[in-house]
Amino acid sequence: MDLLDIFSVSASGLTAQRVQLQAVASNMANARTTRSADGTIEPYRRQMPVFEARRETFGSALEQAMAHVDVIDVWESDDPGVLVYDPTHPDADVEGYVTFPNVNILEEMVDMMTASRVYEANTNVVKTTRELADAALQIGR
Amino acid sequence: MITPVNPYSVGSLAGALPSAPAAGSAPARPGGVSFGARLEAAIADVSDHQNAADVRLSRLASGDEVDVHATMIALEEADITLRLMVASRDAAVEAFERIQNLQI
Repeated sequence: MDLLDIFSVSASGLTAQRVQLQAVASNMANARTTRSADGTIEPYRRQMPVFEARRETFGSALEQAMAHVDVIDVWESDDPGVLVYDPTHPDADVEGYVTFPNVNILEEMVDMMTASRVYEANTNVVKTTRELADAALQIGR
Repeated sequence: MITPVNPYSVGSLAGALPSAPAAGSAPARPGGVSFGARLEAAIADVSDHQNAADVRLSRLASGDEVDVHATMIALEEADITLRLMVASRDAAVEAFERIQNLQI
């Protein structure tokens, strides 16, 4: 595990948070989507990326202890959608209820802020690593 | 047991240790590999990092690369390895000049 490996660990964290932010963007954009791509009445379901720690299986004990993060899957939430009585809505059922997506804007906002802060933290790790490398190169000057 | 940490991945510098002679065209000497061979390997390594950064940049420009940070990190790696090489070159040149200036 050398200084440049820290970069690749941080890069995997940055990628993971980018995917998380993408999911938030998708969920926010589809917060009121009542149909799927083929036109059937099926409310959008909240997308949730799943992260996994990936350790190297070779190298020294120290190298094996360091874990990259991988996005292994994106789950769709099984939570029930929000039922709203609105008989004038084109996608209302026979009783006049419309099923809106199970996306909670407040939750998405919190997820977005978390993703943004974690992304920022990872960029700070990169920055600090760079500063340490700079400092090391100054030895003996 | 604590595993020793390598400060940098410029692998050629590990060749500076007598116990780990680097592969090079220069004749092997009892003290280790020649400075020329070491420098050659270091330059090749720096060049690899520069090329990797270059590829990332063009992929970002052409839209193939989606992660801006991956490109920035590749650039950082190229920068750090280049500066490490320059620092080693400076140290070696300085040592050479000192020996050259010895009064006989």
